[in-house]
Amino acid sequence: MAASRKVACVEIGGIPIALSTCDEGFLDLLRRRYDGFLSSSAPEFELEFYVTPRGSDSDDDVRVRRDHNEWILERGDFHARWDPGTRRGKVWQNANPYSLDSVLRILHSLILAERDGFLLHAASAICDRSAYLFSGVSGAGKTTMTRLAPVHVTLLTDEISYLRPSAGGYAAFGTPFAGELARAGENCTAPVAALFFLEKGPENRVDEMSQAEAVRRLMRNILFFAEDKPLVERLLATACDFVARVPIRRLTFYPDARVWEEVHNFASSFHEVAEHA
Amino acid sequence: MQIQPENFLTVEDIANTPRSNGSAVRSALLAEVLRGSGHVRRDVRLRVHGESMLPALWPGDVVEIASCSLEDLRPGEIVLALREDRLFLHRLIAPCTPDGFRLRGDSMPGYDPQYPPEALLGRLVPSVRHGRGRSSAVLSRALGMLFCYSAAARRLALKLHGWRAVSAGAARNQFRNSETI
Repeated sequence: MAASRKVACVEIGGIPIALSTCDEGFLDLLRRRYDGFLSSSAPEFELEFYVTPRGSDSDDDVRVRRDHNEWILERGDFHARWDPGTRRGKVWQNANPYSLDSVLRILHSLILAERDGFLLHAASAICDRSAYLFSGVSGAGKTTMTRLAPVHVTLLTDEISYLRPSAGGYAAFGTPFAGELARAGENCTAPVAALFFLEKGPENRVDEMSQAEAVRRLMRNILFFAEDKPLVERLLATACDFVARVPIRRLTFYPDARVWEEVHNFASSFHEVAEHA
Repeated sequence: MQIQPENFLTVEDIANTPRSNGSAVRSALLAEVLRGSGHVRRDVRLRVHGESMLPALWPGDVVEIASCSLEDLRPGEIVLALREDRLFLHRLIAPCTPDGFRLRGDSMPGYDPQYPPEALLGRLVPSVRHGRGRSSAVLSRALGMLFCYSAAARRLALKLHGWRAVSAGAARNQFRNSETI
């Protein structure tokens, strides 16, 4: 007799996904890992997990391709099939939480692309009811920015920011996808006030950047893996729209707490300009 | 992810066309790609919107644009220019001067305002489909005037072009299907 499947509904970015498994240990892992993101909402999507003794080689390149109506998600440590039509999929992976994170990130990147949103390699935090994004390659200072944040700042993530279009702009959502900080973000949302591309330097400074440069840097930091021309085309349109709606600056910073004063000053000056416009 | 500008950028050449928020950003991105090439020729492919260059260019056409300098251009060529964050793909109507250049859509009643030299982004790479040489430019201009002043002729031409595009697409699909069987 087949073992009954246990379900945990995980809601990230306002998108509830039912994750089911027959493996009690894996279910426990799921619940602990996504503790702040468990939801009682009716799931929009369903993923069945099958714990297998697959390899644990997460260093392999991930491959996301279409096979007729399904997406195939593959890496050394997991294999998944996802049907966007039925909104269901199956995942074969070992009980590694990093594999689980990777599958969820890829799935969310596919869902978001269809909804004009995206995942960005960026830390994000809420300050005075507005979200600020800090993007850059590994080592640019994303985790450092979150560590230096004043106590009243709410951390959304130190690694992967979740962005969706909202009235008049974009909203950032908290995610459980942690970087070096090894701490999940808060499960909350706020309108995006600015995106900063980080560079370390001898002093704190905010500089303008051209829209073309902003799009190029944004596209370099968007998480997207699918080999699918129409979706990539749509993602570029989304990136251009984001650049048109959200102030984007280069933030050169010296890693101490004063950098947040620079962010705060920028936010204040920008609000003043907006109010007088 | 690296941007591949070809296929993703569109030309919007009608002044009163409603524009999405991102279209000015796309134009800036394209301008940077073409201007940033220095002396190295760089090509991008664009999908054409608008009807101002009928019958040389039709809505939905994919064209190839090559970066170039003012000195490279000859009257009659189709030129890509940027004005007020908007792309225009129109025909050069007179030799360029140090003050800039003048363009006109083949089916437009008048000239565009003068473009400054820095507005130049590139020129259309001629193909058999879009015609080569002065005679095809003259023919396109003559037919363009018909479409400019006769709304009925323009509608009919666009309808015929739409049917032709649909049947060409169906033929391509049929060919693909026969390949996969």
